[in-house]
Amino acid sequence: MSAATSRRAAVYASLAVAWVVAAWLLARSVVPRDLELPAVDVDAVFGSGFVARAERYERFLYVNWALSQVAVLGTLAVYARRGARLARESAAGPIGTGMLLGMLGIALAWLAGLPFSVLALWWDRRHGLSRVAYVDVVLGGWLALAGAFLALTLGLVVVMWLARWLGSWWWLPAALALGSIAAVLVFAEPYLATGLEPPSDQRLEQSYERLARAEGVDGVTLRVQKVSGDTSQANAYAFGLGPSRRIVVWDTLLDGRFADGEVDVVLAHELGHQASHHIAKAIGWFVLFALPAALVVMLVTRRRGGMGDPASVPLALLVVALLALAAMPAQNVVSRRMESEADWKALQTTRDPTAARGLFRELAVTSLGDPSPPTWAYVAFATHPTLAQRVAMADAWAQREGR
Amino acid sequence: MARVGHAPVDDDLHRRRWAVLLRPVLVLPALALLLALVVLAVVAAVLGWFASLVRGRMPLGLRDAGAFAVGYGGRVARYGLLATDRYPDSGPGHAAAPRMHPIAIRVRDDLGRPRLVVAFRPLLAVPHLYWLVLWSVPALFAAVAAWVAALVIGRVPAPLHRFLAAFVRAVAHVSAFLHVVGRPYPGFVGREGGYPIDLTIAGPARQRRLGVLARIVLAGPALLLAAAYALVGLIVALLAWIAALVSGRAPSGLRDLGVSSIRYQAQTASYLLLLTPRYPNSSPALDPSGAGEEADG
Repeated sequence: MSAATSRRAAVYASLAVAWVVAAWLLARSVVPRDLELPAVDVDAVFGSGFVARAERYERFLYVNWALSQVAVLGTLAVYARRGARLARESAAGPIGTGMLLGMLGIALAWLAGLPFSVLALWWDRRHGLSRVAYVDVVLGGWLALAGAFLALTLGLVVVMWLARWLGSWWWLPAALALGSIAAVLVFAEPYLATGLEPPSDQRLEQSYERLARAEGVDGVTLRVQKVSGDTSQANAYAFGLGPSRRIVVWDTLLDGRFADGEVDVVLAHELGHQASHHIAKAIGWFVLFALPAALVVMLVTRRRGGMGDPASVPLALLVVALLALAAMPAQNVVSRRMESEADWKALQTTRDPTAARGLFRELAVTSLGDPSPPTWAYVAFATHPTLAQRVAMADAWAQREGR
Repeated sequence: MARVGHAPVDDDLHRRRWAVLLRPVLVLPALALLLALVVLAVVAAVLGWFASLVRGRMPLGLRDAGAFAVGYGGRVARYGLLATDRYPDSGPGHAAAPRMHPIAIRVRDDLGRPRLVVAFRPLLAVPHLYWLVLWSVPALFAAVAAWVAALVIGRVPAPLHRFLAAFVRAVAHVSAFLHVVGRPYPGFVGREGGYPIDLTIAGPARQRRLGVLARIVLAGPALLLAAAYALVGLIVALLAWIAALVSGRAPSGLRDLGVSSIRYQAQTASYLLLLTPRYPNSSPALDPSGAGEEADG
């Protein structure tokens, strides 16, 4: 073994150890390790008729998703072979040309997936879950590409510049740099978001302040997003970083279908994300996933001259798309772990398992969500624990607390 | 072509039926462009009125801008009223320049426009637009420094001139791409010769201090006309985008009119940023060699 190979092996081994340690640190959770979720009779809790309807609804979406992936990956595969020819449409130098090829690849992937987006919308409208106009999917999606282009070109500038400077070692600093870019974008996102209003309901504000105090969360703003014109589904989310942290609830959650206690569980869940620094941790996980992904991209594109050469960009897009698909189950594990922790914190804060059960039942109804999807679908798609698992956690918490 | 009275008429009386049937729709793009050109002509007329009162002479460029709009209006009317089957040519034509303008535009582009690059063109330019916004901050400071320096030494120092020239050129390149006037994706640094629709900007020239001191005020009329040219450019971009999406080519008339619009705006920016003491040439006509344009006088 040559000295260079030994050095390389030592670097890889050190990185692997650091990766495992970082993953262990990021994966820590306040959910008790010995927590055993009791079995939940899904038909009894959610109603057998509803479960059958939800299964039918989601089955179509699974097939639609699978077909869209075939279309998108097929398009990217063709683009990986032929896309480099479009370099002649650029007068922008190597990095600018790489940016153009990257954006055109994303645009083609969007075009390939567009019929399936329209089909999914048709299905949602048919089930009364969406009121979005078809033209909004096309025009809105086209306009939304601007944000995707901007993020992609930022990433490509960093990657291509590092590749031209560092050669085959670009992937190591690139993963860290991409993490930094992600952090900046996550920080800026709440300031760029539109249509978020302060809550007009005094009870909501008082509940929020009480729950925030209980979870030790300070300086996180509550906002209400008006989506009732587009959908009947209910949702909430936490975003932002540091001073830009926000919690957003959709106005559909406040239209009277959910009891006050159930809304409190949602608020406590989102505050749980902020209290547990899940968004910062998600950026950490992004870096951990980006490291091996960037290494694979470097290895695959080496034969085309490496990422410093714009001709490699179409191939890199295909590789990234395939890696993202392959990493979905692992990313879902991470996401579900964070969601479980937020659920647990919500139960600890509200101490109201009845409201939690009611919330999960109502969420199933409003989103027509299958409470207990097939295992393969759970592994592939579920970013949250199943609704049955969430009800089971509420039951488990009640048992532990003797309620 | 024959004439009836003073109006040229088409000898060919054959009319394609589908084109006649759709004439009320087909004429709409030409009418939209005419509307923008009318705005340009009105602004040119108002400025020309003041200039003629003061100097007793209509500036050549302003006269040409108005004449071009009137001529285009005639072509649109002939087409709309079935006097001809030929679609109105929006090209501003060419006129030899007796005096070279220090800010000239060169066209070395073909008219082919790949549909994929056309379809997403406004979005593809988004990184450039962000970049230009960032660049405009140091450019603003450089302009102030150039103004102070020109007041003191009577000329803009070469490094500042180079920096500001690159900025103006980069804006012209991006503008050409965005307006479907140029074919390829532009670079980010405004390198001379780096784009087929390119500006040649002469080196720093001696400038009268009084002119430098009052530059913002003096640029007022040019800025007004530049706004009118920008409106023309916007309509050109929209029409050229649709045409290129359908046919894979940019119509030459629209492309040339887009070049005129970009040139005038570049000359106005250059005048404002002290890259030249020469006032912008408001004629839409292009130099036949593509190497230089006439000053407005």
